[in-house]
Formats: sequence, C-alpha cells, structure tokens
Amino acid sequence: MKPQSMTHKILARRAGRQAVSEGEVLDVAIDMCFTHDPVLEGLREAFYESFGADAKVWDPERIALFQDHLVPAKDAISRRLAMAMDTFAAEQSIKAYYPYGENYGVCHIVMCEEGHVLPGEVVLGTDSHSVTYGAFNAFGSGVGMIDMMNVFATGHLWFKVPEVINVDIRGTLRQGVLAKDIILRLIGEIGMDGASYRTIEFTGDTIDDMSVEERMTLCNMVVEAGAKNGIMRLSPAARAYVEKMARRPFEPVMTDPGFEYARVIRYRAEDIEPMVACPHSPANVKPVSALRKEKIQVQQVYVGSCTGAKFDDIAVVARMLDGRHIAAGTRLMVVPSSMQIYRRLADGGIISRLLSAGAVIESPGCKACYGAHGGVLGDDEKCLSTTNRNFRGRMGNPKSLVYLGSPATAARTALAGYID
Amino acid sequence: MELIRGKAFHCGDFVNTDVMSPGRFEPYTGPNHLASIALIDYESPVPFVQPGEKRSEFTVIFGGIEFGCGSSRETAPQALHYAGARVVVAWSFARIFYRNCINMGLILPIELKHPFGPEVLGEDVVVDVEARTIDVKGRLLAFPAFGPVTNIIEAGGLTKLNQQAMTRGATA
Repeated sequence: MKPQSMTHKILARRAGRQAVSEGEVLDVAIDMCFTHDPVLEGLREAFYESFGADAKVWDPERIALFQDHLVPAKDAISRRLAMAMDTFAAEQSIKAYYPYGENYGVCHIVMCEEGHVLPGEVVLGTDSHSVTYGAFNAFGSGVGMIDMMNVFATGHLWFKVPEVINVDIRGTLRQGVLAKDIILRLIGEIGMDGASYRTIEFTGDTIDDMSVEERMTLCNMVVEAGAKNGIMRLSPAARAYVEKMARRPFEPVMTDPGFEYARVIRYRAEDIEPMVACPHSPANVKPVSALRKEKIQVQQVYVGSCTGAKFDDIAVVARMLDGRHIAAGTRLMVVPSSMQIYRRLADGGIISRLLSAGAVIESPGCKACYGAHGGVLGDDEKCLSTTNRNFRGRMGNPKSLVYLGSPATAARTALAGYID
Repeated sequence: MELIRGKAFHCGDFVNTDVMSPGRFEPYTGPNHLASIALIDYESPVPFVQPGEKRSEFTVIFGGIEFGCGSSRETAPQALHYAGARVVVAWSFARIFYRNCINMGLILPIELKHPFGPEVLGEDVVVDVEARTIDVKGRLLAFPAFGPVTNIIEAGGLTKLNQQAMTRGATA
C-alpha cells in the first residue's frame, strides 16, 4: 500500500477505504460540524424547503450552533437571526448550542474548548477558519451554507483528496516571536495560492513543543494560503487538552514513513523574526524590523478574532504592557474570543492590568475582524490587528488600512503608537 | 443546455469574497440587496454594478489566480448571481468559492488559463457548456470537462443531487 499522510488516513477512514490517492473524489462521513448566526437562518429555510417541512438532521449530537458574528445584536435583523437559531436548536434537539450568554464565544475557540474537536475526526464548519482544528490532529475544513445544509441532511459530503505540503520547523523561537510570525512569513513566501487545494502538514520539534493555542494560530491561517486544511500530529500538550473535554473516544493518526509530499519547506525557528502583513493582502508580508523605520502611525490596535484573542494571546499583550500606558492617540481594543477565556483573564487579574494600561475590553465575538460591527475604522485610519485578513474593506471601511501582526507586535505598537 | 450570452467583465488575481460581498453589509441579504453590492469594494475602471443599480451589464467574468479567496460566505457567489453573472472563467479558484459555485448551482466556475486582460471588458461572449467552448468575438477557447463534479453540475447543484438520491432510495 502506498504510504499515506495523516490527512489521507482520516479521509480514508471516513470514506470506508483502506487507502486513498491524491485527486480522487470521496464521499466522506462527517464526525462533527457547525454553523453560526450569519448562516443559520438561510440554511434553516433552505433545509426545510429542500428536504420537507418535517425534515430532521441526520444526527443532532454531531451538530453545534454558535452565535458569534452578530452578537450582541446590532439591530433587529441581527436579533432575528439569533432567534431563528433558538428555533432550529429546539426543533432539531441540538444540545451543543452556544447562544449569546455566559458560555458563548467565537465558534472555533468554543468548538475546541468544549471537546467537539477530536483527533482523527472530520470536522466541518461554515467558516473558512475551520482549518484551526488541525492543531488537534483533526481534518478541519470550511464549507459554504449549501454544503452544510446537505451535511445536516445526509451526514456526508464529497471531498477531493489533497496533495500535501510539509512545513517542517525545528529549534526554539526567539523571545517575542510567536506562531503568528511563522504563519505570516509562510503566507508571504508561498503566496495566497501557495497551498491552494492542498494540505499544509506541520512537523518538527518546534511544533511538538508549542503551546496548544499557538498550534491553533498556525493552523487557523493556512486558509490564507488557500489550503484545504492544516494538520499536525498530536502533541502531549494537545492530547492533555482534548482528553479533558473529549466527548468520544478518539484515535490519532500519523503520516507513514516514506510518504511523498508535494513540497517541503524547512524553517529554523531561530531565523524567524516578527512579521507584519501590510495592506491589502495577508501575503504582503514584511519584517517588523524594516517597518519600524517607517514609523507607521496607527490609530487602533485590535486584539481579537479566532486568530489572535485566545488566553495566551491576551496574556502576552498584558505582560508586555505591564506598568506602562498605551500611546496617546491610539485606541487598544481587546475582544476575548470566548466567555471562558474572558473569565480566566478576569480571575487571573489580566483584565485589570489591561485596563490600567488604557485598553478597552469588549465582549467576545467576531466584531471588527470582519467589519460588521464594533471597531470600524475611519477613512485613512490605520489599524494593527491580531486578526487574519486585511483585504480592502475587511474591517468595515474600504478607505482604511489594516496591518496584521502577532499579539506581541500589537502590544509594542500600542505602546509606541506606530508599528513596532 | 442553452448557450450563455453576454458581456465580459475583467478582474485581476486574488479577487476575494470580502470585496464581492463585504461583511459590513451583514446581516442584510435578499436578491436586490446582494446584487447591488456585488464586487462593490473591488477597484476597477468600470464598476461591476453601477452605483444605485441592482443588475450588472456583465454576464461572464474573466478572472486571474485564486478567484474567490477568503471567507466561506455564500453571499459572494449569490451576489454575483443576483447581479446577473452566470460564468466565471478564472486561471484558478479558491476551493470554498469553487465548491459554493458547483454545489449551489448558481455560477459556472470554469478553470482556464485564458489569454484575456483588461481589454476584454465589454466584449460579447458566448459560452457553450455542452461543446465546452468560450467564444469571445470570434476567438474560440476550449475548456476541459468538469471531471468528478460533472454529475453535481448536471443535476443543478448538490441539493438537487441529494434529493434525487433520496427519492431513488425511497422508491427502491
């Protein structure tokens, strides 16, 4: 049998096959899936219209529902979308429902926190950043509303077996260098189509030793290089994390020795430096050491989203700000990505430290990352953001400029008032 | 299958779903609204949809590399469709956008390294899906078969394909 990659083994397992070949199309059984508030109302209507007024989802235990994009409601229509979700959860007996309230948060973060993502499983979401789940050795991928509606009805979806790019990283990252810097460097080097339709498989001792949340940051942004999924073998830390909350037994997968990658990219961790993606592309990446000389003034620093507002991300910001105050003329918005993280930050005194430094803490949600509400920039304003995309208009105003950086770069920039 | 006729629009590389249907317009949807914002943040000499209009004068979009990259939002292909686009011919597609096009059955995504630049804007185009050709003012291009997703395209989208399978299952 031809050697298989871990991604291939997951797809083969759920397609009822021993092995698969790159390029073939499979009918894959889905282990877990979710949708969220901007999508559910339309999905619900189409679901009943397509499959009958009394149609039932294939398995209510394998579906999660989240309110994260349009909460708290900015207007009556946003609230209507949340109410449609209340109705659908009740109609279909979906228990993994996280409405605005004490246990809500950004879908990808809550999916992991609540034990919905398990090693060796196929996990889909109606959100492109569903690639995050590779941090736990799962096949995580984003799909559209109609794809998900069909998954809700059948429990299956078609997938083309991808080729695999190996990104191998060895050594120890320098002080102040984070996973975000690695992924920005990678996207800058291979471009926004560098991994189109392919898997990015991360290997090396840097990855094995990385914190769970940093692994999530790496996998989260592979979609910015066009990847179908990002994946890693299960590390001891990632295993400990999933075992706490796992809802089912699980079986991790490893890539076979001798597997032929389509491409291999090797980094030495010591060579990686802080990086920033400049407007208007996540691939327009430059080292902070070069940008610093340009003294690029920013009016807003945004710490938020599924990419850059996990516990460690915000703790790094607080640690770097400690005892000092942010620059005059700069707003620092911190949006914890879940209520669980928010509570941990409060309990650990981190919220107080951020407040003392001049930060404003907003409630969890997708918020300014995608420009629908909260933190929209003015014309010609610049923002250094720990989020994932900086396309023209992404943060709500096509005349604004967004720079993507790590939480450490965000803290330095907030203190300096310019990209630092 | 009928011929698809209309005027050509031109886009560069990496046209993303944020410029096709920006997040700032959420939660507003509906055909007229989505049509009016189609490609609104994409910078081009001629807008895809004129300000205040709900229809585009263009039916076939010629794009470059990784057309439709970014968010998984289905409002992106919907916006193009409601504005009147029927075909996107691109050097390559971002995978979620491609899936959405095939599975929703609203836009035909043709992957082809076409030779056209900005000068193609406004030219008359005829797409013959059955013969797999694109005629741009007499210049004939052939495009490859859709391979494993042909059955989804022929059914009119993934939902119709699954409905057919369920009906067959129920009567079998």
